[in-house]
Amino acid sequence: MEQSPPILPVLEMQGITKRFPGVLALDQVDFQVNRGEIHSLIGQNGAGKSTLMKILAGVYSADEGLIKMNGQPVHFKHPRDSLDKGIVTVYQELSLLPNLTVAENIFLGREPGHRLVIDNRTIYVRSQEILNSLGIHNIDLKAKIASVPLAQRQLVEIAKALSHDLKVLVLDEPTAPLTNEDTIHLFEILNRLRAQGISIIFITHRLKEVITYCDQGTVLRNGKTIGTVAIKNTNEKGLIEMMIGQEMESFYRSDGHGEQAQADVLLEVQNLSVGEKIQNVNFQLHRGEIVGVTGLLGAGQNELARAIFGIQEHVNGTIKRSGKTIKIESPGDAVEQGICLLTENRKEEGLILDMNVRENITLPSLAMFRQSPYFPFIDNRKERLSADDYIKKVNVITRSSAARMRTLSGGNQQKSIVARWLLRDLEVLIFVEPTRGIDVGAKAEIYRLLSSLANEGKAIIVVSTDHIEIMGVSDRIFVMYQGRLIKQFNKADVTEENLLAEIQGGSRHE
Amino acid sequence: MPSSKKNSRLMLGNFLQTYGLLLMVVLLVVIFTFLNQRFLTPENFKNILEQNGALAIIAVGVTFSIISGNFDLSTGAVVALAGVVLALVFTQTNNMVLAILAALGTTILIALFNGVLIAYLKINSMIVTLACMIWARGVALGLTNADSIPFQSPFINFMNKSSFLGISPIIWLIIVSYLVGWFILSRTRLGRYTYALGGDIEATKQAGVNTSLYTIFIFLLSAVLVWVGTIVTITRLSAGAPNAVYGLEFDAIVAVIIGGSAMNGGEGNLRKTLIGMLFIAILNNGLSTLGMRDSSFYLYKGCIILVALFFEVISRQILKKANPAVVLDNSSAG
Amino acid sequence: MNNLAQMPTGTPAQKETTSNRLNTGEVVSELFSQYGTLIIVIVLAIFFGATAPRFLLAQNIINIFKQVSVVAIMAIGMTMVILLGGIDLSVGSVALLAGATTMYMINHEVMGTGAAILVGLFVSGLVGLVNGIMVEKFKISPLIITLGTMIAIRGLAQSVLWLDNSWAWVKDPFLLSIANKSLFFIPMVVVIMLVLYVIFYIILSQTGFGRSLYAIGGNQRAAHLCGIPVERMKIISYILCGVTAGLGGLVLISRLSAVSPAVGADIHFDAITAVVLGGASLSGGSGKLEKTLLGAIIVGMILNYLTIKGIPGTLQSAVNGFIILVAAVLDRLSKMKTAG
Repeated sequence: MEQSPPILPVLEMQGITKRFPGVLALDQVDFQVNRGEIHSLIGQNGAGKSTLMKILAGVYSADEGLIKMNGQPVHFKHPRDSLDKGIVTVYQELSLLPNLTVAENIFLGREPGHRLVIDNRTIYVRSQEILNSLGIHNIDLKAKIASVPLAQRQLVEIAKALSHDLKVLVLDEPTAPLTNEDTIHLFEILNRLRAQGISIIFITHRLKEVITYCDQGTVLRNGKTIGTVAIKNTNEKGLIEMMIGQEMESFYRSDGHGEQAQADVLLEVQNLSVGEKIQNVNFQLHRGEIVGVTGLLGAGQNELARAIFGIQEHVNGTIKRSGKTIKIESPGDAVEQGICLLTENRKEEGLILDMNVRENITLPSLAMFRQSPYFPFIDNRKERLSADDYIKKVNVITRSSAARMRTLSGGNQQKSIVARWLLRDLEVLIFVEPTRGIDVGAKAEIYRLLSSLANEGKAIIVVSTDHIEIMGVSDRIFVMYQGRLIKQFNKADVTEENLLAEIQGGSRHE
Repeated sequence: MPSSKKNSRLMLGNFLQTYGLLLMVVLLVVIFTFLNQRFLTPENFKNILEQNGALAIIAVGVTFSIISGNFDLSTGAVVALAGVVLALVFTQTNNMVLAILAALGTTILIALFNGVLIAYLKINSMIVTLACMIWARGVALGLTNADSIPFQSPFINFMNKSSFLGISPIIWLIIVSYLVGWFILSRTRLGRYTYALGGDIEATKQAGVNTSLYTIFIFLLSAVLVWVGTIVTITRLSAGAPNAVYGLEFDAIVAVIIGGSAMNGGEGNLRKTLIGMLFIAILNNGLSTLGMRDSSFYLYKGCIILVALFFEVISRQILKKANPAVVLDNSSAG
Repeated sequence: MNNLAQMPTGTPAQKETTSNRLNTGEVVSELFSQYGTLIIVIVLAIFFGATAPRFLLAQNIINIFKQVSVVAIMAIGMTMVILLGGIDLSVGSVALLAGATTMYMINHEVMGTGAAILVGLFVSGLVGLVNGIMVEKFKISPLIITLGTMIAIRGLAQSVLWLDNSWAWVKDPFLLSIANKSLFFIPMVVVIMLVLYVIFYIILSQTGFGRSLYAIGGNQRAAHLCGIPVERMKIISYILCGVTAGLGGLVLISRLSAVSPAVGADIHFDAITAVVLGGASLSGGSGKLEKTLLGAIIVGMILNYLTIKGIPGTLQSAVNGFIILVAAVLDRLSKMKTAG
């Protein structure tokens, strides 16, 4: 082979630093992608992957650092700039219009034709060409996106990206909702793109896929680049080692809660399934224990929590409460059975921002504050005392219980929701991503709270994708993978490595 | 769901959606003919179209609005107001061309006003057009002191009396409106983006389309059709009447929805509106030829509309149940 | 470690702050949304009073209240429906139905006045129930459903009327007295209006039911997840709207001393205007009864002023329409401020 001059990387991001108020999101990050390679960007939630990609997409601008394409510096002030340079990002929430056809979506906003009239023929012809170049033969261009399955919709997004002059394709967790077959098919397509000289940045948590399909991998942690490796020189274990931090903050650790196996079974789930998302889940939940449920995004842990609270459809199986089989079809049913759920979207699903703190806290418990069974008015004093009591117990910081919920910080809002369910005095508490988006101090408080609740004899389920948090907080850990509960760890048996391994599917092969 | 059950639901849903309304129209025709021999005659059919000409034409514009996700409650009132303006200008200047242009100017200005409030200030289209319905009617009443302004004109005679190829000008206007509307909706950018706006405004904006501008275009298109409807109305009344076509906007919206265009926007077409329009027109005409008093008229009309609506919604739900893939949200797993 | 995955596009992360101090802009915005309607009433009162002294005469003020009473009563139920994200166009027709039914019962001596009134209200609530079920259980847009009901019920009411030669004088002394009597110089209709507002205000602010309603209005999903029976409560809101429409209708026929087919034809506009002026958003979420009352009063004040100034009644409906627009624009602007 002739000696050819070194080819410049198609994309270089050098020394990228980005600050948000109170947070250093990216700290002198270097990231480089070569032409015609599939490069994976790996790291835990909060490591900085999305921020880095948003800077690349022109949505944010970096405080420091440089971006170069093919050696030339570029500046992205607006998403259009990035698109014009051939960088297209496909997010998890696809940007397709469900009521338009595949071809119409591919050329949306850039339809060929005269000033007024659209040249539909050209749209269909060129769309077909693009699909052909990708080797896709089973998508009907005339079908409306609404009737196209999710896996194929992703392919349409890629086709749409190709209708630009595509140089770099960024895919954010594309495989989370896909089956194995679809994933294989997706990567066949991506390989074709690679062969055409297009580079692909693949953001994922699924290390198996990184090992199988990618050329290079870059690991970020806490906003810093840990390193870039050629995938053929490493394996899953090696990647995991790069991801593991030295700092395991001690406030995650909590005291054990004694022997759990002997305690009462407050909740039992048998043969639970949710549509196609979850199959055959069985477990028992004891009084006084904290069970952490974790897994990859899309593994089914959220659906599990929702099924137990009555807000999930297509649920089959048995749920038993202290030995008695029950039916949960609505949140009302669940609450009556002493079960509550704190969701991960406190703003959309938990808080009533325009009501004050007290009203938010007492909402599920209004019947308790009737002046008398015949007099339907609220006993204001009793309500206020009760609310203040729990505000203090949970340490919600607010100038008064009459303050609008909107004015509280994220951490205090989350604590208010905890107070709300504590007031109702339920035995089974399910927390989904309880510390999402709140500061370190409030997080610590919540962990302490969980611990003391368990000590009081409540049974707690914590669902989180943050495996460190799960390790710190739980007495037992359940790992979900592709809709099944594949492992139940005891606290003593778990290490970060074997936990991460199980999260990735363990020794299972699909 | 077992496959055979799913298939039969799918077939039922599809069948109902496509032919359900048509069947109801036929049913109506049969019932009315049974009750009144004179119903099923060419003259009556011509009558039906001409009596509901304004409704038919406006329904084209309303179709565009609804597909793009907006409600337009102002059409009837604007027809009345533009008619009044036309009559006033004509009686002052005796110049029909000027009068007609003045009417066009009126509808366009109002459409721009509403459009800016909706597209740029992002005020709910229901409120803006509801308010417009009230104030436009009010202005019309104010300009004429609540009287009609009758006038004679060769133009009116021409519109009412002549015919081309055996078809009267009013019916020609209806035909042209639907043809032009169909062309715009299916072949132009405006039509494509009408669907896009109704489907997902954010994604459309992300694709680089100027959503505010196109929203305004849709209102302007509607304004032109409202103008044509005005011409039809003043022709038939031979006057500019501030009280004309009360309730037209609701008939138009109902026609579009019963026809099968979804309430939330994003889907629909003019063929469906045409059938919906026929339904309402036949209903209007049939019930009045039965000579019933006002109260019964409204009672029957309201009930029948509710039944038709039911049908439309139920058939849509059957279809959804049979084909869960037809779920319009892109929620990802976990 | 903050979870950056939730960062909204282009905006910095929520700053964690334990300080609860609001800046001036937020304070002003808060004040305006709380007291804005009241401020407008006061400003208008001053302006109108200054430019038309007759406006502030006691007799005129009493007149204004009398004139807005019917709409204000209907606006009670409408506030609840709109708070929960719905709308009810059928209130005018329901009002007529209540009036016609009650009159029929009385005139044909089917039952006494009290019972007849109860029947009228029962029928109104029934229509509300039908509206509610169709909107909630069948998930059809309330605009369309109540439009259909509006047409159908008007027809039904007119059929009932027709049984009496298509309109009737109100002869019943009790009903007549509502419009004619006064309690300590306050006209009976105004008393009824105020009493109803007080009753519903207490229900909404002091009972679990009312609290739950506001919760649903504030965040339907969150309310659902707290175990609140959202669907059931929305249906109840439609029933209550029907009932207040019926109440308004009875007051209306008393004031008119006749029941005729055209009664209440456009009154739903006025009710909706009052609610929107009171700061409620037509997409649901907010809506305070006391502000609705102020909204109704504002419209009453404006129309009264125009009449004093000699502006023809026809232009007054034009003004009505503009008033809605102004309210909507203001509402939108204040929303933009808090969102930014």
